Amino acid sequence: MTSPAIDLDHVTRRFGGPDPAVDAVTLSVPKGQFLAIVGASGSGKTTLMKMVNRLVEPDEGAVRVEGAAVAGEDPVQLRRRIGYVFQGVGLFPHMTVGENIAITPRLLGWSPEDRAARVAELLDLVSLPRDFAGRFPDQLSGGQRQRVGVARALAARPGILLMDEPFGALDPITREGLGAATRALHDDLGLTTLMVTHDVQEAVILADRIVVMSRGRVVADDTPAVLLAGHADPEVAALMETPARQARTISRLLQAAAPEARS
Amino acid sequence: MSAADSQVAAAWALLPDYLSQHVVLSASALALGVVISLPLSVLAARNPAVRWPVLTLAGLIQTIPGLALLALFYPLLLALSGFTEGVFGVRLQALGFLPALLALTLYSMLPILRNGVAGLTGVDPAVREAADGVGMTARQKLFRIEAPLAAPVVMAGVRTAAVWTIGAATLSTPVGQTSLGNYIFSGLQTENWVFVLFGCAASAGLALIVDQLLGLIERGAARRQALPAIIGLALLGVGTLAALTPQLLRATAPAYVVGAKNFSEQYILADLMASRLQADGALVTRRDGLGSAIAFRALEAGEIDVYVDYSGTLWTNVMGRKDIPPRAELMAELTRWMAEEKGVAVLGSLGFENAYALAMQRKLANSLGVETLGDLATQAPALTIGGDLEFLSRPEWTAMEKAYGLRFRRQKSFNPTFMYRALGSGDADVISAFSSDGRIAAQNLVVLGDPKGAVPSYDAVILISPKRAGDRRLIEALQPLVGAIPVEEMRKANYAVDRDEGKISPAEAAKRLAAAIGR
Repeated sequence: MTSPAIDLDHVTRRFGGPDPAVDAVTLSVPKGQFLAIVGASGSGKTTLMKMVNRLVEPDEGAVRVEGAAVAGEDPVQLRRRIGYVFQGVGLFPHMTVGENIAITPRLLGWSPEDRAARVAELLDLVSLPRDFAGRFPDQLSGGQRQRVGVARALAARPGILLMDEPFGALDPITREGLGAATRALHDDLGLTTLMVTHDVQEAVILADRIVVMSRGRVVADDTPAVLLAGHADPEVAALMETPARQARTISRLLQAAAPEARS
Repeated sequence: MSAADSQVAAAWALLPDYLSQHVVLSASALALGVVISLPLSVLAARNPAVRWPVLTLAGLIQTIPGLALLALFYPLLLALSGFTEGVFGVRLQALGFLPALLALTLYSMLPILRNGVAGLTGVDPAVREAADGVGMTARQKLFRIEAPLAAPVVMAGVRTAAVWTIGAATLSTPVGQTSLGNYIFSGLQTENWVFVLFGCAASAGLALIVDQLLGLIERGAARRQALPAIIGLALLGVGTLAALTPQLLRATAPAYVVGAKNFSEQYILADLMASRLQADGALVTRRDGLGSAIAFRALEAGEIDVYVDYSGTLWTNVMGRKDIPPRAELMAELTRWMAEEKGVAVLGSLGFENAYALAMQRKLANSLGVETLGDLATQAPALTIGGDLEFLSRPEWTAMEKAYGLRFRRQKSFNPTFMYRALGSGDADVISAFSSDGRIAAQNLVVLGDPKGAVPSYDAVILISPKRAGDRRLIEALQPLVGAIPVEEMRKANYAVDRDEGKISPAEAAKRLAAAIGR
């Protein structure tokens, strides 16, 4: 049996408060899965994800990526082979779009020709015109910037993609389109994707599996369909009910509006 | 040619030397300041425990008046020099370039540090996290992300530092470093406002140009354009190199260093000695505007080769003697002591005295019936005495006070030029005058007699440093001046520089003096 792409084994992290930010979480992500971690602010979901590429170190427990313990690996090398899409994008404002996308390949010592070819390929992949390579981030819209952020994360052909609230700051239409595009990339490139979000609807639509976190612990872990059907934990049930509740509200409004529209 | 025109011409003639030394000094200090401050700001930005003490210390240094900071480095380096000589056999230069460089470097650090820390801590945390996340090492993050993003703010700090440094560099004249401040200090002493203005305009102009060039670099850094930054850097580099060239050329040939204290007579005599050496084909550098106590120590240490001092000053201040022998005896003992104790050669007296004396307006002296210091003692409680900046703390004054029981109503200190004015305006009734001062005759003053011999004689003597004590060329060039300058000629020369109307530069006065005494 192949080892899981990401394996978190009883990881705990404290930030000095009375309760740990992440409390003895065990989580295994098989290769090729799209996993969404949902939960309220402060539930520990981002901290948990940052342990994967050692932006945060666990106080206890072990993290393994593709079978190898990350504690024994140089964090810099580790991060270069894991794609990361940041909350708030975090593009380097003094570099062009092309330079931003090519940053990890450059750190890995790729030749300029290889980098230029890869930038063109990635701009195609995230549906941006190739001449965007010469622009600066402040000349782009929010949605375009986040597409560049995704392209940057994928530049060095990582097997694993981490995304921290990637579409949080975008308008709903852009958000939906970019979500679908990301899922398509996940499937086409055979990635293992870990996405942190507080948007249950987004998680339900995009992910294969949803992990719900609350106060540093995993309180639910299943496929979207199973979780939507109900859960023993009332907190989880209420959270998972939100998209369905919204859908019902919307359909009621539509029905009420329909006769008027007909007359 | 009018007096003002000739002063402007004299100022222009000095510009290449003053400007190039000013540029080399400020550029070195700024470069050193940047080299020290940038790593320090990285450290301070990373570590709040370092940030507070570093910024506080830099701020504290900034509160020390520039002139005092420069002056403090002289004794500091002198002490350090004794240490390094003992331990490493290397003498540090306590006068001139080194103390000026160190003080200005300290002065330049605050704006660079402050903006460095602000620039680095101001980098968006999301961008900094992204740098970690894409797999940058700490070094790559600093040089590829933080440094370029902080660059515009840092450059603004460097600009401020440059303007401060260029301005403060004018204060390095009193520690013996030639700068554009030489115009200002000698101009103030001789009341040559053309020189003062010229010095101010030159240093302001230099600061403005450098500020604009650094502004180009700042703009290049902010807009991520290489061209303006390259143009700015290239022009700054060319300017510094151009300023360095005469310095390097000079450094290859040994030069005689002629010193001068900070008053007209000293400037004139230094010019006179320098022109005799130059006429002989020797290279000469000048250290003008030295403090009275600094001058002798600089000579002793070999930082200046020759200057003129006064026998009585050396007798009391350097030799620490309290007794007052007759003039000839004092000279003989001084010459012997200097040679034996300090290795300093006293070439001889120039032929006139510049004694510390008290002077009053003739009208007031007559109405009060004052002719001597003894007469003055009875009137003093109703009068105000004005001294030059050092007189009231000198042993000569203490000796007069003691010998005659002088008790004045008030004591005031003045810049020498303003001191003479104070007599006219009634701000002072009695002043400390120099017997070779041309203004004594010109302003119709009486020099009060010293029947008890409280103050020693003050023959102007040429002193030669231990290093040059056996230098034939130097001695032969200056020997003809010994005994050659009568006090009337010296007064005339001093007055030509000090008077309000139709004043001439010390160099011009030295030329006329040389012609008058046929040397």
